[in-house]
Amino acid sequence: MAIKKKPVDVVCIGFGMTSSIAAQELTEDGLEVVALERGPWRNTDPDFAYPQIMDELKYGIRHELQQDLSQSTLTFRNKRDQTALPMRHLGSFLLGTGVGGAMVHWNGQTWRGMPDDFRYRSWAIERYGEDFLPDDMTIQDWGISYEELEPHYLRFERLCGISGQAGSVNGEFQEGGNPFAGDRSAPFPLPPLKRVNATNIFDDAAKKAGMHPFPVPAANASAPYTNLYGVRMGGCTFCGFCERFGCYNNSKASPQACIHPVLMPKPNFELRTGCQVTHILLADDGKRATGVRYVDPDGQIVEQPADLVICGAYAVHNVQLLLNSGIGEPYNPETGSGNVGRNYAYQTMGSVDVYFDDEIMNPFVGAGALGQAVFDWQTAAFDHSEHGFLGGAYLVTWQTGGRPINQTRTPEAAGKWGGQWKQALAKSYNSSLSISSHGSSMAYKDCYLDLDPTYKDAFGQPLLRMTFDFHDNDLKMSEFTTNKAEKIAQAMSPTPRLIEKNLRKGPYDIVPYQTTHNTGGAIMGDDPATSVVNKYMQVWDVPNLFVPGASAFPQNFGVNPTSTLGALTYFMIDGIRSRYLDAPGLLV
Amino acid sequence: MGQHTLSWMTALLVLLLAGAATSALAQQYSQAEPVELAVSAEALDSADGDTIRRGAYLARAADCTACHTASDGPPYAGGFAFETPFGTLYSSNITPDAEHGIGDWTQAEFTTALRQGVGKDGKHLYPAMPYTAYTHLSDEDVEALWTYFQHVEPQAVPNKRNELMWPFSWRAAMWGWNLLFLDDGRFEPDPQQSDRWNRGAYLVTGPGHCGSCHTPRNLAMARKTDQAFMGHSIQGWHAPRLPAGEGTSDAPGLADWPENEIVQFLQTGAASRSAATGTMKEAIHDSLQYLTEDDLRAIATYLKSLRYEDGETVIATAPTGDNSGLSPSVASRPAQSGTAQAIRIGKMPPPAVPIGDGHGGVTAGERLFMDNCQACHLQGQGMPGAFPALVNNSATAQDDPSNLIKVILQGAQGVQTQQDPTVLTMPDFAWRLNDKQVATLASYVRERFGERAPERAQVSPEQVAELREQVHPPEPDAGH
Repeated sequence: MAIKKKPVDVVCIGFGMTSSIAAQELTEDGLEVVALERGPWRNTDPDFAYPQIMDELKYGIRHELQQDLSQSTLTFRNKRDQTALPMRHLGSFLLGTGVGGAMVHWNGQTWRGMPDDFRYRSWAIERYGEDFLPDDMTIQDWGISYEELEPHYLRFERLCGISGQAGSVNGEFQEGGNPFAGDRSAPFPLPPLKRVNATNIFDDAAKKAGMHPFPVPAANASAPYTNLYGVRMGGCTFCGFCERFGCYNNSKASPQACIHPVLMPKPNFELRTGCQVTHILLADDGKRATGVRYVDPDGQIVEQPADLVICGAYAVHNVQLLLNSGIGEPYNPETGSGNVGRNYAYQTMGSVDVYFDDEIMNPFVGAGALGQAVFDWQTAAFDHSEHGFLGGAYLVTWQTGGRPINQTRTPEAAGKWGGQWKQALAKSYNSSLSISSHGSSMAYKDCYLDLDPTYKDAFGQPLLRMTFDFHDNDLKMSEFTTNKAEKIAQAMSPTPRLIEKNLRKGPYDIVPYQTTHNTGGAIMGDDPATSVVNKYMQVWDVPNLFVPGASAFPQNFGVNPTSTLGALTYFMIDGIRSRYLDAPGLLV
Repeated sequence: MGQHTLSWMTALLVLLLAGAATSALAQQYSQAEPVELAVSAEALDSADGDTIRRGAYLARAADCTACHTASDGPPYAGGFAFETPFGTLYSSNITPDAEHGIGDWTQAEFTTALRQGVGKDGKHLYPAMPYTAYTHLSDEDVEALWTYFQHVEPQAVPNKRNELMWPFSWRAAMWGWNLLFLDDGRFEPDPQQSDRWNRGAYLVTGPGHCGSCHTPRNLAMARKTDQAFMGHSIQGWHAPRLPAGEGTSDAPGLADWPENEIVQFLQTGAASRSAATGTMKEAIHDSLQYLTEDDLRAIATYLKSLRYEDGETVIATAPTGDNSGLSPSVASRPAQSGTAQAIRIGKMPPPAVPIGDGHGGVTAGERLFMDNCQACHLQGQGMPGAFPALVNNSATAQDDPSNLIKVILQGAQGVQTQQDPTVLTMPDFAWRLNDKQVATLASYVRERFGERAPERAQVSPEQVAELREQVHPPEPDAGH
């Protein structure tokens, strides 16, 4: 018999960025909000304190901040005719847990999508015709426009204290900004981060190669910043420990650094940690969520009734919860019916490593989003017609840090161990850089999420099963953009002693780290027949259930997802606060 | 009262005053409290409503709340413990409960307690209760406080018996002390000064009882009135001097601080050149953050007018200037050696080299500063809005190095206030740096940013060792 809690107005599942925004905003309306987080309480002090947090072995390799896979994981296979097996080590992506979620350990690369990304199917068909799309490609429009999202992007940027150089502001181009980016209604809150030798070399070379470099928008504050909630952030000190680490300095945007100081003291907000939500509960008619069921830290089963449920866990966990709760129709790859689990997508990454003779890069002077990039080969920035693929990538030289285990590179010929490798490492550590091709991932019929028929988590719930492989379209795209990166490398001054190209090859391998940009499975759209949520992140079938996050992306564009999922969350909040609370029901 | 008793009494009072430093800030995110604490909406709506509001505001300004409320206890029910080596002293229940509180007191008795330190039954209060300051309160304000305390929710919480050993348990001793040191009398406005200045002077010397910490005390723990606000050390924390002027052996005073920055500091505990430490954090958290901006500006006006001339604290005759910020030349002191260049070319001495022998042209103090401090405090200018400047900072500029050493050892955590919810933290270094390293670092910081001659900047490892015993930083996690 489950313990039944006193009903509340809103329950938030997970306590990362989307739930923190929702809780902060909805408590402003006087609503009583409870957030349920499966992991522990974490705060800048003491959990990310200097210098203990800068421990690569503990956090970078042993994943102290990440999901404990012995409790719950997912199963994986490339193809439908294979048997999926549990992912027993984190590799290709790093699932977060605990207060702050994955935004504790992110880098802070904060992109907006291109305006045409949000109508990518229509855009592609208008330009290249319907036949240009491979038969099994299932990309679709988002059901929201860039113009609708723009003010909410800005809000998210003002939450996070984004440092960057604007391209177009109210129709006027700003020197040094990204000429391919959508128009902005205001500049970035902070100026761009200071550049380093590597990003300067990239900048010069990209210009020489005829491209248009600009500083990457960074959630690493280039100066002290007071955000839209009055929370103060410190200026980034370039310690080089962003990705996989918490920020000791409140410089990298996170729920802790940007929201919790104003949210946590509110009397109408309560956080319960160590609480694993297993089900979203539905009324008998299946048309209304009545609350959630969770396992508390003592292993007791608890029901928390609520009028409004925000499912704000990580993308893949959102999908697992919907499937385990029987919400919506699970996707059937055989027939194409059902939407929950459909259009899982990822990111297609390539790179070019560049070695110099005597350059001094000081790679340890880094920040997670300290980089110079070009958008010339981005999803909607160039003509695909003669290349035979859709999608694109940004090319970038990062200087995120110089950690000894994860962040060194040596030429292929040096091997991976032994004296020769050590010599090569000593030489290349301070005199090399890399160009990444950070590419899109289209959606396909046979790339999806469903429940595993065999494996269960520690709470007795079926694991999520991921079926995913790279398709020719995306591999072709990645080869094309990585070749463009090679062109930049060849234009570099001083002349590199060695350029090594790492083309992305299939099949998709879940072991080496690529990106933590898992998208889709609870996708958005303007038609209930082809989407799980509408543009307000509202479940068509269950209007008092909202599912914000990258799970809503119909396919993955060529940029990192965080800023877009933040903007979508603010768009959702706007709909809830301005209309839903007065008249609960579908907003579309 | 013999000399022997007097000096023991002195020791006790040192501890009493220091005891006030330990209210419950442990909870990182505390819920904001209303100014009108513990009063019903009906009372506020009654004919006395305005007087009650005024009293509630004064109770915040006088910080009655912090000392008369036990951690986790109901407001004003007393029981807040002042731990001393001679026993424990408890604050009293000042709710209108007839049996345990002040429900059966008259307004006259309340007034006498507030101004003369003598309770209903003629019992002397210990001067941990700052009646030597509250004696300045106007009749109107005392009445407002009385009305407020008549309307706070009564709490049937018995007063705890003080657990003091003799002779400290002998309250009558305070009769003699009062005779010598209590200057009973109301605040007299200075007609030469503006209304705003007078309001500030009243708040500072009356309800605010700022002198309790900032004014040096004589051997009997009475405040030296001619040395008003000249700074005072208690239990390892130093309340810096506030008047500007001669005797630059201590912090430079507030005359040059922009008014806005003083207001910001009192509201939030953080300003570009200082972050509140020690008891000041509680004063801000429990009291000052609730004051109106007008009152805080009045306080700033008064404090900026204070001067120290010919061996005593006086009021400046000329209007004070407003230094709108740190001049760049002062704010950014270049490092003393080729360090920046050494970093740029990647040729820093390896850590194995014993520090302090000039390897790579880097002194031991500079090396420690770079490794531990520079990332946030930069070249001493800090990051306005986040990390305080070290130049002109009271912790680096004052003679007494206690605050600087303690902050290095135990770190510092900002104050959460209504205006500024953010709690920025400086980490603790006690587990990382030994006494010699802390002394070397503190000496370096005092010399470079406190503008002291090397011999006057010196901090000894023994000074660090003494303060280290007072702080108990958390043991670093074994996993680190």
